[in-house]
Amino acid sequence: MSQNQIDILQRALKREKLARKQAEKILEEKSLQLYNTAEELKYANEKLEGLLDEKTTQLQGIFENINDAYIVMDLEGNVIKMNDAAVELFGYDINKETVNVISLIYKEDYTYAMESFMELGDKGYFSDYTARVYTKTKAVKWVHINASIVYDKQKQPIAAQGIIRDITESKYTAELIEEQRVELDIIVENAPFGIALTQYGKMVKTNKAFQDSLGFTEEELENITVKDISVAEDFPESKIYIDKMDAGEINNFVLDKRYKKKDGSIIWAKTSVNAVRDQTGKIKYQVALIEDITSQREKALIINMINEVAKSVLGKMNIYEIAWEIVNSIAKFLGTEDCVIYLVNTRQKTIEQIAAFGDKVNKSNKIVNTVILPLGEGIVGRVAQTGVAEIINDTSKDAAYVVDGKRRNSEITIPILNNGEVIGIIDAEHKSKNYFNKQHLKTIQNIASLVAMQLKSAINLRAREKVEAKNDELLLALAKSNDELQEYAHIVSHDLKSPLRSINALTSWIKEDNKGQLDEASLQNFALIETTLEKMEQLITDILEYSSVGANDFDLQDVNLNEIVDELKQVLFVPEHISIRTLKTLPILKGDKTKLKQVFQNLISNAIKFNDKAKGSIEIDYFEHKSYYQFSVKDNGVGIESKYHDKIFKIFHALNKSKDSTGIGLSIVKKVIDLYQGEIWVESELTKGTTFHFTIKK
Amino acid sequence: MKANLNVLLIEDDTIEIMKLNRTISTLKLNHNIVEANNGEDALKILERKEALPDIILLDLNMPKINGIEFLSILKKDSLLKHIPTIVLTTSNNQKDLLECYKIGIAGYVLKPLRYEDYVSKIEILLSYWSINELTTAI
Repeated sequence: MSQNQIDILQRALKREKLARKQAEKILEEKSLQLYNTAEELKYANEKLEGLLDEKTTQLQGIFENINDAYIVMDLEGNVIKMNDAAVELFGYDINKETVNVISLIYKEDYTYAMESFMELGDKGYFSDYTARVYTKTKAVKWVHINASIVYDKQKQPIAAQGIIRDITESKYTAELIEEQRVELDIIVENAPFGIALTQYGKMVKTNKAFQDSLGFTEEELENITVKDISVAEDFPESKIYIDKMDAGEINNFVLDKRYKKKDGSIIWAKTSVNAVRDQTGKIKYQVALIEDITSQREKALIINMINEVAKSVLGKMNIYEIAWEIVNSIAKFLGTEDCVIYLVNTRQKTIEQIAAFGDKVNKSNKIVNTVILPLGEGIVGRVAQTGVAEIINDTSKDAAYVVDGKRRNSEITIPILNNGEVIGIIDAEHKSKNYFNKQHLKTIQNIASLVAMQLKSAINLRAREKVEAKNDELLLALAKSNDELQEYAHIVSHDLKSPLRSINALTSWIKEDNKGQLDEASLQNFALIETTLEKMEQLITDILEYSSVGANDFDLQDVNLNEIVDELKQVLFVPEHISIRTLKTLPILKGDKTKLKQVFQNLISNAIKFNDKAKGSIEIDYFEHKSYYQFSVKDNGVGIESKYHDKIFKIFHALNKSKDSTGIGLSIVKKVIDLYQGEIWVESELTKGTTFHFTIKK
Repeated sequence: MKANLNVLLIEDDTIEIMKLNRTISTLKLNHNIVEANNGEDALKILERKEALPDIILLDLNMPKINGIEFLSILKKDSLLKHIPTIVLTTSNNQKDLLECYKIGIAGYVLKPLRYEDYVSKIEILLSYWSINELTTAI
């Protein structure tokens, strides 16, 4: 071996040693790296586990702190953990005793519980387990449980946990609600008014009353809409309310509307609609309550119509006017398209249409083709004859039916009676058979009697107006003839007086022309002629005066009676032995001075004339009463026998025929007193004197 | 000096006419009496404008045109309406009296029953108008 070789070998060895050393160093380095990595990994793992544990603990804390009961049990059902709420719920405390959940299961719920356990095993969880459990005190509680299996790291089930909620209370409440719901259903179902729950116009639920009043079954109603049972005429009003409700402005409304029954007839119902809204305020349901007010409405309608008719005919004078007024009301009330009013013409024994509603009337409100029927012809003619109202349920079965315009199937005919006599007919027809009923009949009869009454009073009124007009005429004629009479009286008096004056002139001329040639007897006769003429003249004057009393309308003025008496004292010839006294100051009357003067003049002049006493006295007195004055004129003259007391006031009844007495004076007095609605009477005793009493209305 | 009057007497009653004439002659008056038996005659007389009366004595109750009608016609005539007209009548009808004064009269004298009373009334009446100044006096 060469040195070289050895050297080479030595060098190679050296190199080898170095390389190994280097490799060892790298390995060491790598190991350290690996170790470090492993260490790091271990740390991370530990950290992770810690985190996991932490989470579990945290979760456990949540469970322990929640209000619901929380338990953990092993797979045999032995409870290994329970929170305070669970302790409180079940009454057991696992720190003091063992509890197996099987023993908690309410016996009736056992099967259900076992099934749920199976489910838990299969699926690893169950939820919404709702059943009863026993507590330690053997009380029964309703619980709601959600449970799940707890697995170990090898995914092996090791335990189960569950959250138990005590729902005893809410369960009870729910039962109560259910009970109440049932009760409510009974109430709703048996309510006397119809109730419907609707959604988008569909009837979701209806009660019996609702079904009954419309004649539909519940199922039928479920398949039709509210619109189907409503009447088009009511849509506009309903829409106003519905729109408001949709807009959220109102939550309920009430309106009277019509409903179509299954058989096609119409009922009126007071309808109350309430909105049931969801949380957002959107309408979920509408609850409608309906109350059939058809008959109520009909009654109100009748009263309204009668009122309307009464109002419209009030003060109307003739049946034509009245007929036109009522024919529309009647047609509206009856709901017919044809209504006619006839008037009976008793002279011609016919009935004639005088007012109509419907096709019979043209645009200018005149009857087209006025029908005139002889009494007894047609149904109307028959009723006009019998005076008995009729309802014809099927006109095709009544031979008397006369087609007027169009054949209609039912008819109602009512007479307007006045004192048992038919004066008119109210007649209406309807296209449907059996349309008219007793109610209609009764109502129209009421109207007929109202019309008759009005007509009767119109007739009476006319008669009275006629009489009044006649009276006015008579009064006018009377006034005229009174005036004429007055004129006549003046002319007569003139004509009568003229010859008297002439005779007087002629006799005085004879006397003058034959002065000294006439003997005593002749002169005496001439004197007698003159007194006779004077008496005649006085008579004429008095008659004229008597006839003048009451002729002129006296104008009322204040008349001072004291003045009158004073004037009379001047005018009348009062002999010296006679005194005239007024015992009180006489009142001032409202009246006609001339006439009042006539009264006092005649009474005083009579008292003067018929006084035979050496000292004559005339006393005038009066008393004031509430509504009249009572005067008296008292004298101490000859007196009047009581048998003449009534006669003296009659015209031309002079008791004492004398030159001054015509027998008209007291008649004039009486006539004036009559004018003043007063009375006059006499108290007298023969030879002692006379008192005239008279009253004058204030 | 009392004037002599031209008097138009409108009167239908003969005796009344006689009464006035006799009264005038009894009283020895020189008045000139023109007689008309009714309103128509009187209007005819009054047509002669050159011989109009000084005064008119008018009865009311007359046939044809009565006193009041005559008076109305007279008062509508511008020439004649000045003539004083005295009503001489039996009628004391208040209505007539008022109507006459309304139309326009110069007096209203009631004929009395007694002739003696008549004479004295006429005497006073005529003497009254005799002393009056009259438009138509010549």
